[in-house]
Amino acid sequence: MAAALRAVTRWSPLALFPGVLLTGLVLPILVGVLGALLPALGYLPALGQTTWGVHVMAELLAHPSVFPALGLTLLTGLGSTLLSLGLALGLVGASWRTPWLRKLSTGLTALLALPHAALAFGLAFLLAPGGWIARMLGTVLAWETPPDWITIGDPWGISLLLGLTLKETPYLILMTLAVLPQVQASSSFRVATALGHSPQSAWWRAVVPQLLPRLHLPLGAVLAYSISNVDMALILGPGTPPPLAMLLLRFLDAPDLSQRLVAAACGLLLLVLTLAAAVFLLALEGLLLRGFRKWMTPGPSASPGWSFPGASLLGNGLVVASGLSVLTLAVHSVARRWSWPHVWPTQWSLRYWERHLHGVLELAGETLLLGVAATLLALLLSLGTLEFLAASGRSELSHPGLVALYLPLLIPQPVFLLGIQTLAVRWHLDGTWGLVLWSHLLFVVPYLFLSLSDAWRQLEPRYLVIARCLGLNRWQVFWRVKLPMLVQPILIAGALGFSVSVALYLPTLFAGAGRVSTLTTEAVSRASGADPRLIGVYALVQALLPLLILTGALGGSRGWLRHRRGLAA
Amino acid sequence: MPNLMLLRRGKRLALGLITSLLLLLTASPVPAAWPDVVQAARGQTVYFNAWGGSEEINAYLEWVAEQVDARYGVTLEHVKLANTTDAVSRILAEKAAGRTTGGSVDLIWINGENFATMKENGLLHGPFVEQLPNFALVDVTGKPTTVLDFHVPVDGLEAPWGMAQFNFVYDSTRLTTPPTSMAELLRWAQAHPGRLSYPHVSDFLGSTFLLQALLELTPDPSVLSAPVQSDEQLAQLTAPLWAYLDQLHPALWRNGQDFPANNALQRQMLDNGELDISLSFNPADTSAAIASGALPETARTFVLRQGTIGNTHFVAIPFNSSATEAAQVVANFLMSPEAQAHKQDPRVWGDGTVLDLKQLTPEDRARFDALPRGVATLSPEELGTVRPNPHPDWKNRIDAEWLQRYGQ
Repeated sequence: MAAALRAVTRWSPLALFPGVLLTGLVLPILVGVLGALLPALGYLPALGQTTWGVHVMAELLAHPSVFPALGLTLLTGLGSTLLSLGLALGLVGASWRTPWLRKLSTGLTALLALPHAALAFGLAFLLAPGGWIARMLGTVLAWETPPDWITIGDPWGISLLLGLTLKETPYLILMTLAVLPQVQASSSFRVATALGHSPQSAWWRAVVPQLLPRLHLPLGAVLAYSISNVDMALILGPGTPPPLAMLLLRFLDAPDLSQRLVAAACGLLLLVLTLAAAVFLLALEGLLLRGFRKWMTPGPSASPGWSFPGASLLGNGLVVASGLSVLTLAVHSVARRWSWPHVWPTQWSLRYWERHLHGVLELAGETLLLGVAATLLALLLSLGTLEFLAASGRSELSHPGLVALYLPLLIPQPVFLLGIQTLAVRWHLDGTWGLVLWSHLLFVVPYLFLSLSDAWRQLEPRYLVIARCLGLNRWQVFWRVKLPMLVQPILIAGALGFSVSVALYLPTLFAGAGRVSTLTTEAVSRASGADPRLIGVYALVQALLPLLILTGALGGSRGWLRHRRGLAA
Repeated sequence: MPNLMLLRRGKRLALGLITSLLLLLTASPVPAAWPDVVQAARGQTVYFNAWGGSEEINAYLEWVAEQVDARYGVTLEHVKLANTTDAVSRILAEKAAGRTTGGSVDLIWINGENFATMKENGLLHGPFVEQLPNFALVDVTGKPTTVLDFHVPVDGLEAPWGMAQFNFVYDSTRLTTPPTSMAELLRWAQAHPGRLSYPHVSDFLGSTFLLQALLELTPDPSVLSAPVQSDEQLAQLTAPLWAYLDQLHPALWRNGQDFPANNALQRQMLDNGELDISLSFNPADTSAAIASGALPETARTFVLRQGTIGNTHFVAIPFNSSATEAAQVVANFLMSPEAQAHKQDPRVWGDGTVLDLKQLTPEDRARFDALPRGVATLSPEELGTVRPNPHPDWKNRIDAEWLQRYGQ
């Protein structure tokens, strides 16, 4: 951030954008973390707690579930991060020079737009012992009762790990594709194959080691999310003990209010755990790159890696599993009775849709408004900042600036949201639409900025120089040359930003104070009744809204490009 | 029973006297201020924070919103919570920030521990309950839990809303003779491994299952109505419970290594055939679930011979609500015979009334008499003895000990 601020001192009106971006997003988070830190150290005057010390930490560590929860969280968090990284690198490596990748990436973008909760519900309906897959098998094998499978909510967190992987792999694939041009993958690859390496060997030995350092921040975001998420853990994770973030919520939800101090301490532990896991991953990367140097420079070899058919199967598998999950939601939403072992509902009914359509549409409208406002604001801030960077002759934010931008994704949500809630209440901002919008910006801006900055970097600078030479000023160049050239990435980044806003649960809950609700908060509160038909209705609409916006964005950019063939290349 | 004797004298006189008696009954506790409260309530908006996981309850609250709007000009917004403590935390955060007016919650659905902590931390407005006209109709003697919430005196800080009683739910095609005691339940579970479970203790029905077992297994349940005296007392009284669970758990779903996260999920597992027994706190909601297609036609309920735990759930007004008048009007309407009868209808929600039916006018009584009972609902006689919840202290200590023993 220091570098970014130094740049601000060289005054230009454009400097306002990074200024607002960084102070508006980073400062409140730091204050929020502080607000969570105080109760962890024993200070919460509202409950008459003013004794400073480590007694709250001690109470937390004495809780019987903490250490098992810690292990479980590390396993699912690190496991899903590593697994999705491996899948992403493997898939991209096997297919980055084939036309199939372009097709796959549309499917992956759709997966990315799918809210976590909707995907998790669908997966649960699919994989549970009484779920769709078991029913299909049960009909064939004449099972009288559902099998004794330990799938959803298994004590080792495997279904949670798989759910997270399903959701995070597409993101990492798209991020990998974005950094490929930066590391000049094609030339490294050509050199390696010219030296006699097989394509797989060239990918893993020559390209991947260059990619990894550039994936640090996206990986950090994936790691922090996997460690601290509650919406997927709630649906797919085990309960005895639960992952740490769920344990935190249990402390927070305990009727005994003094447990809130323990919840704050648990938040602190979550933060430490995330940092420790990140350091571990960095160390692992260092070790691998150093330890495998011998393996990497042995001269030509034909191993290892996946062949294209295997990768295509796996990649399509990801898309199909998610598609089936959404389909189960749809079937449940129109079922009246659907008991074991029937593969299809025995009684159908549109009753839930009839009863809820009005309310759901109203909520969808509010969600849309909030998401569109957050996306437009985030676009404005991101475009302004990118222009500021371009004007000051740099192609990207300084490293500290990037970390600052990523901060909301790197710090576990429950930690700083608690602190921010107290502040918001003090300033009478809680429950206002503006605060909810701001809380969404915290998460929409980083995703949007990062996907846009790639497009900005890849823009051929000579067009801009020519435009300047033709007498256009900076503003005209931006408006008449850059924007038209970048319509496609802007629309797609906007659609993804919108999907981030739609999926936000905890931020909306904390900032909205029950006065502002979205499809997601309503879906989660109704899901507490575990009625699959109702969950089907809400989760389906929750999933369809971002997909609709994405389809619109893709259609729009296709229409835009139809008469501008040169841009499509 | 003077009114019964009067009846014999003559129909006209009796009717006249009954009417005036009833008028007296309903009129006497009304403080002069009530019309002022109703007057002030007009135009206010009440943010009612209540669990939003039940279709039936949400629909009932929509009906209530229409009624209070039409009758009192009060706007009722149901803030649907995934968890009641979401709202309790918010009220606490508001207290922490020193906000004494304009709070985000105007009415909250609570009982038991949540009430105890809110009362203890000064988060509640009132006392207000005694001045609500319909409170006079509440059966405070026949249903003592309407004024003693888990043995914590209500002190006019929360208005009784409905009655609950612990019961078991099963599918009669898979379970033919339901157990009638904890000991029989254990034998059944051992004969049918993997087909029984109970929710994790973080769900209130999970801890209620433990308390229900404790009431039946401990030699002297009467001490459970006071707070825990000492660690020795706790250890001594709960020893039979842990011995029981140690025997039970290996026969449970997933060998008692994991538990359904909540009761709603467990009911879903019963419907799916993953379990044979589920738990409920509302004797009528199994019938309602059959009607909505959430459980099979063959679902039924049972209770234990020695009686099961019953309690009352309430609505309370947070200390910093800015719509206290309208919140009181809503609380009063929720206790009205009309709203209570509509609520008890198993086709609506099926939640038991807090009112003393004997005190109602014949017309109001008729509303209750006309209600169908529902195919899976037990009669009051079959439901048997209602046993009070142990003091919240026991629940906290037992939950903690349970986590220590089985929660890892």
